[in-house]
Amino acid sequence: MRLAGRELTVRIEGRTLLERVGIEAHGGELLGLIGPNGAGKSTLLRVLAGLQEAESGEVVCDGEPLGRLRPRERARRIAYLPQDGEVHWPLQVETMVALGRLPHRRVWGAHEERDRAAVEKALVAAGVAGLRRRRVSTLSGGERMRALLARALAVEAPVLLADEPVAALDPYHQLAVMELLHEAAGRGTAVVVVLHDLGLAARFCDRLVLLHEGRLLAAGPPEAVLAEDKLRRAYRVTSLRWRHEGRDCIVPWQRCDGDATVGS
Amino acid sequence: MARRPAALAFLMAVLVAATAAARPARVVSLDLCTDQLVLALAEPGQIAAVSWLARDCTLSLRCAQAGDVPVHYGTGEELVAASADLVVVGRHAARGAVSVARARGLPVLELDSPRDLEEMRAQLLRMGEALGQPGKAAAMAAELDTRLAGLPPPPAPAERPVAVLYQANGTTVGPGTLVDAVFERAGLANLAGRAGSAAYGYLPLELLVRHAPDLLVVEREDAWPPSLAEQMIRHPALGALFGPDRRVVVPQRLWICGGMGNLEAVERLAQARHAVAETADGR
Amino acid sequence: MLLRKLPMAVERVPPRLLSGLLALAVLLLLVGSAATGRVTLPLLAAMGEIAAGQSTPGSIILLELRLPRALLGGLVGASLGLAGAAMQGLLRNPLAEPGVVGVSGLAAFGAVVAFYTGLSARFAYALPLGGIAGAFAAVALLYALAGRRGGLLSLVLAGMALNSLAGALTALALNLSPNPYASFEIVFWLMGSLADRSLGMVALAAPPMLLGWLLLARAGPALDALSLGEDTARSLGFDLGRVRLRIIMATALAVGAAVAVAGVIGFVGLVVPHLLRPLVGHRPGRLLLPSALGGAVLVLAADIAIRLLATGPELKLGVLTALLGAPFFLWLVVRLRGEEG
Repeated sequence: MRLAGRELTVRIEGRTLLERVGIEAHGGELLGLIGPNGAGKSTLLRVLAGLQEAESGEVVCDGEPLGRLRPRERARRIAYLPQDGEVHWPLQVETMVALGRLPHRRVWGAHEERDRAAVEKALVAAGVAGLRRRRVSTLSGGERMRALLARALAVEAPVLLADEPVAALDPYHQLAVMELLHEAAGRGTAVVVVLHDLGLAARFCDRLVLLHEGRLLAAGPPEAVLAEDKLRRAYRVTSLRWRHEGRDCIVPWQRCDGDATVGS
Repeated sequence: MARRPAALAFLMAVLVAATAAARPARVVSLDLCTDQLVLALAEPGQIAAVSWLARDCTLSLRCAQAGDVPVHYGTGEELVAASADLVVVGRHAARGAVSVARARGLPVLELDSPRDLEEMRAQLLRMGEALGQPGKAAAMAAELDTRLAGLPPPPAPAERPVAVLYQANGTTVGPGTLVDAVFERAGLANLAGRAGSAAYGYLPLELLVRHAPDLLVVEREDAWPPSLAEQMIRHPALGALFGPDRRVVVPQRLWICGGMGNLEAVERLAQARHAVAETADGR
Repeated sequence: MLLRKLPMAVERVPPRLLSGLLALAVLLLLVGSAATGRVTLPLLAAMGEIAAGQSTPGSIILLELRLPRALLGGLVGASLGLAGAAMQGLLRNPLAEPGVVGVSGLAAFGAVVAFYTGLSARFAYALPLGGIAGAFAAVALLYALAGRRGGLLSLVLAGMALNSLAGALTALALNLSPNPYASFEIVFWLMGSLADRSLGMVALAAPPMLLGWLLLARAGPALDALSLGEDTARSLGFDLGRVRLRIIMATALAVGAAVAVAGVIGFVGLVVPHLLRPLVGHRPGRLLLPSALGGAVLVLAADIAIRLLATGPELKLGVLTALLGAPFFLWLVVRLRGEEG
């Protein structure tokens, strides 16, 4: 599976959100989408999910332009987890997760064996099988995010797009969710995740795409994308970095503007 | 040129008026029913104003005539502006304007709603006196007597067909009313009286169908202007039960007030009774 | 967020059992409605007379008066219950109810214009079409005003404004009618009634209602998906533009036709879905069929009750549903406000 965006430009009310951005996600790979606030990460994810029309450029899913897929077909190929994760009714976790099977529904169809199995697998994978009878409204933030992720996993789509799934979580649950996404990639899914936490990006992602002011600043392995000069330019921060267990570790350290470091 | 005979008539009326003693010259009628009597009996020059309802042809027998005289909307200030020298009004109408008239010391003639044809006849004569037109009133009373006498006598009570006046919203009219008296004189038994209901009662559609009277009396059958209240009278359930031979229309203006219209109502109903009796005999 | 704890009721009665029980109740109430009235009617004898083609008072009462009343009770109730459940699903707001948010009110205005101008006397379908046009305008307006991101408050406020506007327009139209009775008939339009309707009315109102039901019959999965928000629903393969249009059309058809023949009967679409929601695990899609049946149960039962209660001219049906529904609505508002804050 390969999901690719080419030359994507999005303008809304005269404001350019994305300009000629290209991106590629491959099956079995965890791709991190990073960049400062307003860089266009969420917009790019929505364009890849087919939720936002691009003014120019196209998204191609396994050789087929996304715009030419029927909505149902697109939904079976691409699962999308939005940033706010709203759930409007006090649904039970299992019921909510089962909504992920909607793209596979048949007319009047009840849940069939395959659907049941997929829901079960997703519940177990996300570690929320024990919560299946709980109402989503009664879950803690971490439990809730894992349940929402289970919903996205239940689609069993070859592509999974997740918008800031760890933003509001404590470190324990951040790690738990990132591990989940990593495992999903390990099972062959193409996973694209929007992240703010550079440390998690460096620790878990196979590749990174760095956006700045709607343009692609860098793409490639974490070591290359998280280079000091790129972070300075995109985020206006300096960072501490070291290596641990063969991977780069990175902590943003100080604000800086241009080349001058701010503060002492 | 066409105006000349009218002008002549007016001149003569003025002369006649001058000879009659205490003939009021600016009469204001405050409700629909006194309007009818005033329009029937007074000379046009005597009428200062009648109520605006007098121009409504569904309610007023003399709506065309009312178009030629001023109308008011029942307020005290209109009464004062009309500088009336006689105010005529029904017992329960336009109370505000009536108290204004009394406060100004104007003569007020109040009439009750007539409950039968005799009371109606007496009011006709009384209004004639008040307007200084006793001769005209006496002539009308005589016509009334003649035409009533010309009707076939009503059958014995047990043989009378049962009828009901079914009005908007399913209301009926029972004993002690002019409508009941008209029924009586036309030789009909009023279902509303039999069901033991009060003078103005409510008869649900279901009960009407269950009692299935011989004759259904309605006040109008056309659907314009439309209202839900009157749509009820055209309900298919009534259509199934009351064919054209068992249905008679007596327009509201004939009997909403006492007057010569009542006579026409009696005649229409007597004719309908006759038709129903014949159909019954034929079966 | 309307989340957090809601009282744990009986969790998920099997859907077929629930719908089966409700359908049974509808059938019993239909018979009960046909058996209730001013006149004590030997039902079997009257049915025999109808079968034999005899036109007796009994057969006329059953066929021309009781039957249309019972049928309309079921049809109108089902339409209101269903429309309530669908609107709540679409707007993701448990307070969205055709009567509360002014959809029924504008439908009444549409029907009033069609009726009192005499249009429906010349062209009978003008009556339901007028109702449908009014309802459509209201739903579309509400969606534009408070649909997408609107919270509870903006919907309720927009609905309040629409309701006042609809009431004023209806009163104005009735006052302009040359018929002296018309201005008193605002009570019917605002408070609804099923008294003395005819089979002709059933024939007018049933087709648009059934069409509305049909459009909603397959909206279930989309409503389920919408409980996760619009983006997620779209990512699950739903064309939201079409889903919205379909639900707005369906609601307008069902509510518009119902109001055109029965006036505004409020709160049915609020109370019924809310009571049934826990029984279907809060799934908006699963709620549709039970809400339709439950709406029929409520309206039929209320319509029987006013015939048993009433003396003199009947109480209006909407009076009873409002007496039941308005306190319920208040309670719901207070509770939801607690959860929002």
